[in-house]
Amino acid sequence: MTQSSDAMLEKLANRDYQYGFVTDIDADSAPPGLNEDIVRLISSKKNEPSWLLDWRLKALARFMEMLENDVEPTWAKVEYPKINFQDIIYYSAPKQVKKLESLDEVDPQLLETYEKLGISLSEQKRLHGVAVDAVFDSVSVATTFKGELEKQGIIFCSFSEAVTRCPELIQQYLGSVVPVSDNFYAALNSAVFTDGSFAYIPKGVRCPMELSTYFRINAANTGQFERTLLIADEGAYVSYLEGCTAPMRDENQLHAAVVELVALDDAEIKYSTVQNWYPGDKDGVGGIYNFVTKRGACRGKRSKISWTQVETGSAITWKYPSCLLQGDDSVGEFYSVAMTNNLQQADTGTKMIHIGKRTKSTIISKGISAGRSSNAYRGLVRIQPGATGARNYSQCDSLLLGDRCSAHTFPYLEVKNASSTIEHEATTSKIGEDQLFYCRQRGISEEDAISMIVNGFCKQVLRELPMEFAVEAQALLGLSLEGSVG
Amino acid sequence: MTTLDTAQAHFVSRFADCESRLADASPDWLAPIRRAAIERFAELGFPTRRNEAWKYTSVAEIANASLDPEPPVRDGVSPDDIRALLGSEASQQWFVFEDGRFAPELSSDEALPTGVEIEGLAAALRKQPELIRPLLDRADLLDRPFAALNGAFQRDGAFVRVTAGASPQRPIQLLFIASPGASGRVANQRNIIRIDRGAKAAILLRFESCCEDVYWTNSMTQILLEDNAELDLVSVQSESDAAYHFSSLDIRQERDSRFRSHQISLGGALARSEIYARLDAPGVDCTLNGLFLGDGRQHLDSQTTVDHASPNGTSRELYKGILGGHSRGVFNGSVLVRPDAQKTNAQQFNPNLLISDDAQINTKPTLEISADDVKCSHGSTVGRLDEDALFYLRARGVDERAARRMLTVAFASEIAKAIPQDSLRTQVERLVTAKLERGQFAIETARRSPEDPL
Repeated sequence: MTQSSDAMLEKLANRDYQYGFVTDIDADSAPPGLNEDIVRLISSKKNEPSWLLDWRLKALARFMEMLENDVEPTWAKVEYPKINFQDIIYYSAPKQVKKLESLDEVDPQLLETYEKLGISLSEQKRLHGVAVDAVFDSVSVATTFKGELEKQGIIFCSFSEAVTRCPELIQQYLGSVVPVSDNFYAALNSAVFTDGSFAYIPKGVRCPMELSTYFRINAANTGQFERTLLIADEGAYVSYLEGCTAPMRDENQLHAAVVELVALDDAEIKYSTVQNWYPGDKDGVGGIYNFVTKRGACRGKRSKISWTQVETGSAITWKYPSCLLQGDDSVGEFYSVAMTNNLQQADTGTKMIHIGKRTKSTIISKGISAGRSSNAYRGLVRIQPGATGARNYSQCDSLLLGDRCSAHTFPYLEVKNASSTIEHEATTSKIGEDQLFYCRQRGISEEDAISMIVNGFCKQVLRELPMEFAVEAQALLGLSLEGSVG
Repeated sequence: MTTLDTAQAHFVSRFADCESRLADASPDWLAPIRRAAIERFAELGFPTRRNEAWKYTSVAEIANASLDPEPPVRDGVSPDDIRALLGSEASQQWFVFEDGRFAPELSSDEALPTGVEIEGLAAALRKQPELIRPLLDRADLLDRPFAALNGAFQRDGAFVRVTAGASPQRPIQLLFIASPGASGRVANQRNIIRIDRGAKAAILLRFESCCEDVYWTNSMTQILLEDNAELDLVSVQSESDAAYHFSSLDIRQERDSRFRSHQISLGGALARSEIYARLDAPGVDCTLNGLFLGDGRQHLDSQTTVDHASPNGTSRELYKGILGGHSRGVFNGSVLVRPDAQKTNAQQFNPNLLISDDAQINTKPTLEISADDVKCSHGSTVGRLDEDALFYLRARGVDERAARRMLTVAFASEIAKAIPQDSLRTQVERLVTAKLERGQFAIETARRSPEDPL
């Protein structure tokens, strides 16, 4: 590494997190602590039916049991101080007196926050044709394009709204992909989730626009427990975007979301994420703990679920968007770019569980580590005995920028029949001196050259992103990356 | 109390019973080393499948077998048995170990090549304690439960030393044989191989059996390569179908040394090999090749770790698996590159062939890289025989069975071909072919679902 690039690294690594600001709004918060009362409080605040409260309480009991037996997952290659689950505030909602009829009624300060985040609802509505279900802390405050979607029979609303609007769908599908006791954080989420997004695409409908949610964590010490459920009925198609930024905080914030996707016969769900939560400062102080369970079930024949993620934020990422390929000929895809800098830690990957015949999965994972960060790919490909003729291809590449970071690859391949073909390959290297030399020789600055090479490295994943996101993701990657040119 | 706990308690109490007898058999300095080992084993116990390193291998069966780790000596192997086992290779020079103990009366009495020292470890312990003691007194070896168990009950094994600059022409062949009376017993053998500065050698470790019953070979081999030393280590495991076989290889490589391991796993009901190669000094070259052939209800597990702890190291790893019948294969290969190990070049590849629909493979190649100026890659594949290749052969009049056999043998042959010593290569090829021909192993036609075209 040359002297000049060291200096550049230094300069860029010290760049501030652009989206770090705190909105000063009175929050309607519950006292910290986790117990039955808090679960009842959340449930009653949401006017939930009794079956949902029972479901939450069951999850709480399960979580408490797990907590007691100390089964908090420790296998991931991440390190953090033990979380005290009694110190967390489990409910916080922006003050809001009545149901809003239009955007004008929303607290202007809230709207300003969205402006800073670059999600102007009105702008997006007009320019991008994107329906935004913005989640501010835990309660949805505004939803757009509803009418247009309703015309097609598409339900796209906050989770709490869905509970009252289409309880039968919620009751049928909630927890059917990620069961209450699936894992430690899923159990926690099931007990205390506050809100999230819900979408149902009816039979044969192709959703005319990209559905999108912006998450934002606010209010100090508030854990964010989102619950997302998307259902694509037979022959339906939907592309869903999820993006996030969070304000600067000194204390770590826990985020344990659960996302469930269900695709029936011939349905297709494309789920794209750009995650840019506060990663902590360069000494590793603060930052979000992002412990997320995302799973999609390809229930129907020829169904398809595709996960695309660009992960640049969070102090710790623990996330494995997975596919249960149950229907014959169903397809699962996972495209991921995970970028870590400074003291960030990421342990991310996917699980592809092949159950149906001739199921196919593709995994493309690109990890970029810089600074003193640690970046791990952890993936499972399981071919069940009945999944004859299954096919998997996995490629996991890591790029190291700087000599104090690390990159790990932990693929698990479990194959239980002979007619399937599984291929996994992984490489780890740094940017070649000769590649850099080639670019510099042609008058391209070192910074541009590296940005170019890294963008090329990630191209396979970035091109899977919908247009609206691709631009943002590239800019984001550039931003996080520039800080670590090496 | 689980079966595993019971078995653990059984071994710990057995140690208490035999401690004084073991102490009588060895120099005094070994007693505290044994004690530390059994204490560690008592802490670790039999691994459960929650233990990441044992995720795919259950030892419940071994725990159930209530085997004796310190049985009375029984001679059972005759020179005729050995001749029958080895066939034409019996005329070569062999050093024989019976149930883990050196058996000079069964070994060839030819003179040793210049620069080679071979004897039983029990004898070498007394003669060269200064050389052996630091190798045995290593707490880090005890982190694996069965290495700790071996440390507690070790009595004998092979001690091989090739002195500085020596380069024996012929390979050094060691035969570890389970006697007809091995039933119900554990052979905890400890081997030490030391290749001094600038020496070059080829060593064969061959595990065979005269016992059809359940027994357990728990072998630990420590290898030290001094500066610029070179070693080809061929290990062939053909234990009986009922046997349990665990072998650990611990390799320390010093500056510019070159180590090549060729590991062939053929026998055993449950067999597991663990290789830990630590590249301690700059410029080291390490090659790990392996082949496991499973049929029936065999469970074959290969665990390898290449630890690049120094710059400019090169490692290459190729482990191939062929699984038929209801067999299970496990491969777990990890490559560690420590922060200072710049300019490391590490490659690892694990292709597997499933011959039968009831066979299973769990493979987990991992990379843990903490240095940036490195080139590391790994890959793993699982599949059946290439249909195009089969079609090609059949179009030329080769029948399906012959075509399948041809392709399977070709898949396996890459590992044997990499053995530089002619005599060892021929021997390995013969054993691999014999295993492939056994029963319906290689020619079994994979069952296909009706809608799945050929």
